[in-house]
Amino acid sequence: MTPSRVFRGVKMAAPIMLGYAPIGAAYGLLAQQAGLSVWFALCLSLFVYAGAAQFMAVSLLSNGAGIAVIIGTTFVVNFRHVLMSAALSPFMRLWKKWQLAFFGGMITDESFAIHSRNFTLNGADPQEAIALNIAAYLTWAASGMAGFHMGALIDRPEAWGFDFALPAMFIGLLLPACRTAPAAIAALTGGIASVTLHLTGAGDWAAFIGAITGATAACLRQDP
Amino acid sequence: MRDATVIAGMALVTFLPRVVPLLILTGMKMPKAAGRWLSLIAPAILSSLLLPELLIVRSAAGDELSLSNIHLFAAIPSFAVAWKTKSLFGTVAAGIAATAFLRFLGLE
Repeated sequence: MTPSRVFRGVKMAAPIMLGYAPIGAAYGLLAQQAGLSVWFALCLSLFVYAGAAQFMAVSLLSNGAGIAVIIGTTFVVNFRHVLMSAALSPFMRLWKKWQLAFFGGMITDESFAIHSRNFTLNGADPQEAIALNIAAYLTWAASGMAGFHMGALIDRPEAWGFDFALPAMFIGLLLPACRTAPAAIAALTGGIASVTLHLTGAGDWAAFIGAITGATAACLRQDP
Repeated sequence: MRDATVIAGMALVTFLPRVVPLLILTGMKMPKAAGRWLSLIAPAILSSLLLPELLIVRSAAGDELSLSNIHLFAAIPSFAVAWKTKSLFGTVAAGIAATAFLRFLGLE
């Protein structure tokens, strides 16, 4: 283990940690109010580690939904990670299998956004990348627990503006990712497709189909 | 038992899409066109995740288009800082500060 590389990874995770802390706390509070046990809430954070799916599971459980519905919806909501995993793969050919599995298990929208920029610029360093993932993962689990036990004490957490930390991070990463014309077309088409899907009630598929639409549109325009 | 089944099931259907493509694709020689398509996934998915955050509000009736919400307004200084400074930290700080300020003014 090289401390300087691990430290670099944790440092890169800082904006993610800033964004996860309040959302994780909100998740913990919601789980507590829905009457879930602290262990169940914690296990979802540790073994599923996917914000949108966890919020959805809490609301489905408190509405008495069946197991198959909960697992099926989770699959749909989290299927977009297939694209992120695939998109990072060209940078990771020299990684060991266990490193790929360990890293991949902690891919989130936010960690993907940072990795994809960093791998393009600096290459994929396993220690740095895995340290980033673990820092984000621990922040998510810890803030969930904090929210479960103390969430009710925090009055109007959104007054501090932290709910915009992650959208702002995406803005900061989207602009440099759009430097070429095909990339800009992919972003524009994908974004419009995703918004349209939300409006037609297919929000669960929006990121997945939006991304495929955007990348395909940009490729087709490049070589008609 | 029911709790354990829910957790194990959710964990499995989340883990596989995250890991299987990495394990398969890193060992494969990729056609050039596929590589180019994959390189365009990053901008496409970033914007697919971001735009609904800025343009969609949830209501009882479902997702609705909104051109006047606090996240869309806060995005303007964030884009400006991202464009001018290229600093990720600066962009996040500007976004948080703008959101807090707009809420302080009473917007929702």
